[in-house]
Amino acid sequence: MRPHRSALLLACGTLLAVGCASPPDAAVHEADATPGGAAPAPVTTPPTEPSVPATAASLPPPPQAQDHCDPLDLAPRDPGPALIRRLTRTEYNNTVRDLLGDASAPADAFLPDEEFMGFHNQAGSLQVSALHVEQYMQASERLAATAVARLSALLPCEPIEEGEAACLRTFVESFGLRAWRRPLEAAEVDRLVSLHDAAATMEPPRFERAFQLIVQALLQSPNFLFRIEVGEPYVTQALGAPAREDATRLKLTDYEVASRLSYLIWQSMPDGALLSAAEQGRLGTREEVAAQARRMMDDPRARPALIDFFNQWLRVDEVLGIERDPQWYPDFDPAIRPLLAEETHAFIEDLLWGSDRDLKALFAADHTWLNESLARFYGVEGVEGEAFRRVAVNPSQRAGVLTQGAIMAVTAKPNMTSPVFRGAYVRERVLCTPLPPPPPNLPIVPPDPDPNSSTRQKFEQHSADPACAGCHSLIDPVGFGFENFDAVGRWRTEENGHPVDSSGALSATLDADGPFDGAAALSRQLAESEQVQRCVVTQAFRFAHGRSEVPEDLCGIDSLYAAYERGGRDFLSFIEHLTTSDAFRFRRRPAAENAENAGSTP
Amino acid sequence: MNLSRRALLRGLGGVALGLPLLQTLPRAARAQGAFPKRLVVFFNPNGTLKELWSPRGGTETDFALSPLLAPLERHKQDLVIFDGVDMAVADTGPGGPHNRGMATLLTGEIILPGNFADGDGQTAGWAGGPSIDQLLADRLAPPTRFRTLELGVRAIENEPRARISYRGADQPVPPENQPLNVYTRLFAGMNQDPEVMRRLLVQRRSVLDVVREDFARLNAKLAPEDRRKLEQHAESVRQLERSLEAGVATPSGALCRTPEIPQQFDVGSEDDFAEIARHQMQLLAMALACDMTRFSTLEFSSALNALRFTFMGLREQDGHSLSHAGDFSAEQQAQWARMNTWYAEQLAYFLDLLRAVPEGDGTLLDNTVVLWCSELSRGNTHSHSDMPFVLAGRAGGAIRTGRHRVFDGVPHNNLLLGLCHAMGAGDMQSFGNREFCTGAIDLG
Repeated sequence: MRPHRSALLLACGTLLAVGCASPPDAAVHEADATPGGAAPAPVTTPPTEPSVPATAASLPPPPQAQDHCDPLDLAPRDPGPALIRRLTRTEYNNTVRDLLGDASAPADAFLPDEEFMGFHNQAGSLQVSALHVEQYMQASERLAATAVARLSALLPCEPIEEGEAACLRTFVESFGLRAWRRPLEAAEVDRLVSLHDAAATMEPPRFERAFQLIVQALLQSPNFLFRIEVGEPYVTQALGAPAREDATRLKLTDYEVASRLSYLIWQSMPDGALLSAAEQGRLGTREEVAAQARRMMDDPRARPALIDFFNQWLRVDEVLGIERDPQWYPDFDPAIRPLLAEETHAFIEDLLWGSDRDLKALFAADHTWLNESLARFYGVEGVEGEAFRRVAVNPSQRAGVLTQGAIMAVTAKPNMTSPVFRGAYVRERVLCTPLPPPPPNLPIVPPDPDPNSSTRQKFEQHSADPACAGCHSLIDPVGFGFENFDAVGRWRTEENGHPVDSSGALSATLDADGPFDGAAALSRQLAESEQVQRCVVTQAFRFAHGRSEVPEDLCGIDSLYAAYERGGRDFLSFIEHLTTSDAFRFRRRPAAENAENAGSTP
Repeated sequence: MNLSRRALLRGLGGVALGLPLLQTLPRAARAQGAFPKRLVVFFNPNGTLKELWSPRGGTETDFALSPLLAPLERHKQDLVIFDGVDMAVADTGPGGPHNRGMATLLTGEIILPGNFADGDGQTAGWAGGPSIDQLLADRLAPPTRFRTLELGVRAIENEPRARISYRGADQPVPPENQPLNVYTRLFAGMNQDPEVMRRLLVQRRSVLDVVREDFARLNAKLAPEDRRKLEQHAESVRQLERSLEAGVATPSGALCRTPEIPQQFDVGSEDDFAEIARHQMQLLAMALACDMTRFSTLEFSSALNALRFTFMGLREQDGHSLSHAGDFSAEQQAQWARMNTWYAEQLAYFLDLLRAVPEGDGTLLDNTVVLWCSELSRGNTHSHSDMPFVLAGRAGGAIRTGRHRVFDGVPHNNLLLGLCHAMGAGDMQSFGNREFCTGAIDLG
């Protein structure tokens, strides 16, 4: 079983009030508490009247409109601190598939990719440890051994007619361009071809040996394993003015833009069309980039890659690893797990490529996608066959992705639901305002299980503790809304003989506050919130750029949001717009170089 | 060299034997005229119950083990048990208490800012400096095939809460959780035809020669931040090259042979947790016996884990939840105590494996020190005070064992510094963040 991320979001079964309560210098709660610690607060937190003023200040700023930004979006933008990005396991697998026709997914055996803000593709986080390079070496050896068996298909020349070294040179130039996603320099070609000399002293046959070593060297190179970006000077010339070189920014080369596009939209290397566009210098303008992005999103490769954003952001695939305590969930069959993931994947695919693409439906949709086995699991009738199809849901029970089984399961515990995990999930993933941590050295004790009470009753008793109430007023009233869904996402109206009460309230948001009754109502409330829609854009920014936003990015994200709304929250047109942004097409000029060249005219 | 096959079988849990490769002392060790010192970090998460953990009564050398450490009774004379060591540096910096504890535990440095949620609005990052295993490997530069070795038992999250070893600030070293992968990495080449291995080495060397030039070319072009990223990659490639050279050059050690071949496990499995642990401990013990590495970490699960001990029937609650049980929740406290007792049993088993390997007049355990630790002292308060540290083994005589040492709130950096001295880095003046290091604890 894969541990819940919620366990991490919320250090404990519950939270204490330090960051959330006020005033900060109030009397401390426990003898060993840190000064400035928890403040007892009056127990006045019925779900519909949370103590907002005391708690909202402790949350990070929500995604919101930036007053200082240029509304016309014409000024050059700071592209932000973009690190070179190591290939993720998925990107490695897809790349060798497209490069060599090898679908063996060798990266599945690599160390898992480090996570950052819930995403597995964050540049700052991905490591290259000693064990990684061993794994890269072994994978390159296996891939080269497979490739040499298909030598004639991969070779652009005939070694016997043209000479071995000459043919290897042709191969290095053409294959190397695809492997490193740019033309190789002459010295690089020479160095790789020199492996033909080295092979002379090795086991024959020499040509095949050299071929394998060349493939290995290409695949173990940082030029393959990283998406290297150097950029080039950006020279502009206004009418009647002298040409001027941008002092703070470099423009990505066309080859670098090709890789940004292909790894964003396909999680793989550029195809022939992108590489020839780069060769012909046809990726320099916004229009050219947008046209490629549109073409690529029609390609089947775009589907798993873009769905993966939602997968990682919403933690969908974690459902594949959930386990359930047979005492409480005796009829839970692990075989249902991939079906729960598939439900959400199919739902998202339809939202992106189907006929109604307004992403408000991500949270508000009146339908989901089921097949017969999954429908039976949910107790839905009239769905036959193993193919997934669109099925209407009861709008008083379900609305959108938050009410789907995968999300309900990954935010539950093995033996019970967790209003705390679910509430924290909404705060962090959907509202982009994660909760502060509990303070050091204070007792943090989750409710004791009690078969005579409902989950809600247990948590309510527990959060009645004044020290807990501050933070829990932000979490529990949200999480209680999901209590009609058990720990595997099935609808329930009673628990332990108690009727389920799924009334709750949102608080401390910019524009979504208010009471609701049940998860469907909560979801529709979230769908209409600008904070939530800005959060979608912010999360997509993190995924697309492989990093979290910095203050210099906020104007760019503001523009992305404006485009997102203009486009009716159509995700594909949003991605198209993102690829034309300055953050996508430029890099910061390194500081030293910056100083040297500031304001210079070529 | 007196080697009893029975002792070997006993020590290694009666594992199936491949062809034993009984050989002489590790060449590297013999060159130094002594057996090498090894450091193993033995980690399990979420703290313990100190009141059931601390030795009872008596004096520094005359004390009784308390219930949670009772499984270590047969190794009592190999232990140093610490009370009153604080990890104050973990109460500093951003992030939640588990992440801070993990980042600090072996580095003694304040956690870096970053973007990992820990239920934390501020968010935190990776550790701020090298961990003791990596730092000692840098300082002492062992001539072993693996500079360091990182093994995990379901330490599967890819975040700060599942990392204890750091190459440097912001450079976590991930553990290998699949015993079969460890086996393949360490032992697959052992019974190979030396000529085949030599040819492979020649090929690999020539490929890496080409790859190495790519780094130099790129360095000239990249932005400074990117260069740092690439430098880590380049250093790992250099390590790989050294490892390849050593792989052929270094003969195996006294009791060095191929251990039992593990099956392929689901590394996230709760049911197989104990079995995976057994394999990882056997593999690590053999790696030490073979002098394949001298600095290693063995990480049982991760902070904030959702791990239930289903293999012993504890299906209701995971370890992290149990660690939060209230002080008066007798049933949950009892379950949490059982989990902690199990970890003590694992350490005892691992020490058995080390003690079964003769080295000179003593055993491998005499030349090793195992640091047993957790990122918290107590789960339900997230305390970093009075941390549960235990040392096992004598590090070649540098550590006087059979002791219960009671301090009054000394920083754990002092203990880590003392450990560095015991391992042979006697010139070190401080460890980790200097503000939290007031001088080495003398372990002799």
